[in-house]
Amino acid sequence: MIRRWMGAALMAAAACGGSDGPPSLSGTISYEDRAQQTNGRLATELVPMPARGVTLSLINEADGAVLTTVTTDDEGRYTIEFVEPLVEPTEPVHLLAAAMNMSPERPIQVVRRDRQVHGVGGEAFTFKDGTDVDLLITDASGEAEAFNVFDMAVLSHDAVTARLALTPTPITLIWERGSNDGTYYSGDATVHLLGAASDDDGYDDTVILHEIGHFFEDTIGRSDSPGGGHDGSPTDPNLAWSEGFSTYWAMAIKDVPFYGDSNSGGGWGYNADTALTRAPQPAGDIGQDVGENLTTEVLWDLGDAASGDDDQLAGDHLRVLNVQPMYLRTAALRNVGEPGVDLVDFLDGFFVADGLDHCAAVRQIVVTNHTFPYDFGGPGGRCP
Amino acid sequence: MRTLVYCVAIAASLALVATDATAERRHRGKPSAPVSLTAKAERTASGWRVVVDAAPTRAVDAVTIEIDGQATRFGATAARDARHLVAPVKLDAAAGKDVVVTARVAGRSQSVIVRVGAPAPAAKPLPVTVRQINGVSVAEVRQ
Repeated sequence: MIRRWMGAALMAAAACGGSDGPPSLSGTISYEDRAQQTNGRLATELVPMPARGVTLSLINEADGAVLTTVTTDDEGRYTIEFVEPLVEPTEPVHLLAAAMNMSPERPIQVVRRDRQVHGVGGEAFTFKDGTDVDLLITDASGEAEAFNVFDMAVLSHDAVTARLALTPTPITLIWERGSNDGTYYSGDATVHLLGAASDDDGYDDTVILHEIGHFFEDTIGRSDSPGGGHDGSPTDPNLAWSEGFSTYWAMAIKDVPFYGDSNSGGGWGYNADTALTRAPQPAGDIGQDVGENLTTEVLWDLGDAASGDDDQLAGDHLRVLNVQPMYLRTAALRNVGEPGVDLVDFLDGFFVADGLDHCAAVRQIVVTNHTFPYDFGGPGGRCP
Repeated sequence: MRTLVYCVAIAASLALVATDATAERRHRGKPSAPVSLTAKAERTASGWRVVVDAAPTRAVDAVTIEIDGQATRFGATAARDARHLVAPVKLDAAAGKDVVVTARVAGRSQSVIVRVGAPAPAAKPLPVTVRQINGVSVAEVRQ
């Protein structure tokens, strides 16, 4: 009763103070990030990044009651307005940021190995109308990486919604500092990420996006990958396609031709625009084993701009990514080469979607540069 | 009867292969380095040493092994031909150390950490409070 009366008094005081609108609390939620460098290592400097789209709750410090819950905007900003039945808190409270979003546009949660969502609570404070209360999720808390993982999923889901005009499906990502579970996509809308001292992928944006790429293959495209290891050597065309596409997904989402993976010894990086991987047998079978990098480099060259580049095609990544939902997802694949989806089927779909206007430029990328013996005779028509 | 036994055995084998393939298919991992890397700590008369074997999975132009930041480069190496390296580690009595071992092969790398000497002190987990937010369990760590 006293709490309610005090709330009403505070509201009245705020109104007399001349502020517009109801009493409110606002601020910015951010997390510390380490940037990837081109050699795959992580920068030592910690940089605050906005925690966009995270779930933010106001918690009563004394009894732990959840007073209200909102979502941060794309700058990490939040505003809580105290409108009936929500009354202004008179006792100390704190903010709790959770690495989850339950909206249809961003159905994402980043969880610990026990499947509880990562959350970080700030210092207790006493509410005062109109003041900003910020929360910086620090690396020292052991939780900043979980929010970086969340942010990579936001990037991916936003691309699906905005660029591909599709509704993303819910995804769960498991990361925890110290976890030796491995980094892989397990086929059940779940991505697993290493948090080990020898190899921690929590800040490795491109590794996280690579695994999310597998998730999108499954949910909006198609994969016939047998799974298993892939180290850049020529391998099963279905595996090479799936892995090469997922690395390309990471590059297309970040719009840089770079893949990096840090580890305790530093790490390694790869540039799909400057590297050149060739098919082992230029005059060989269309279903021959190829390296995953060949797939990534062909896709990048088809999707990037023409200027300052080693190929002549003025591409765009949307045109490349769209082949997954528009063709591979539903089409009956041509009975050539390796059964199941591979680079040949993607190129078939590219010409179906794009027409035959760019035959010469694609031939230069695929055959001249990468020596892959594609036959240019798919369901989209025969290139001259 | 014998034919039936053979058929059942073949069917069981095929089912096992299918199960393995399905399990493998569910696991699509990150790009790895083409190398098999093993490292272990061994006690010597004068202290400790780290023993490393790095075998590329295919023929490569070079294999570089780093132990505690010291790099050793080996030349062209055939597939599955392990490069062997031993490095002494200086430690005070009763001390312990994490030694990072890295193999760099064909533009990619893999690292492991070898504990030498006394075991590392157990990390104390941060206290966690579990709260229900919109029906979801959230593990809260306070900063």
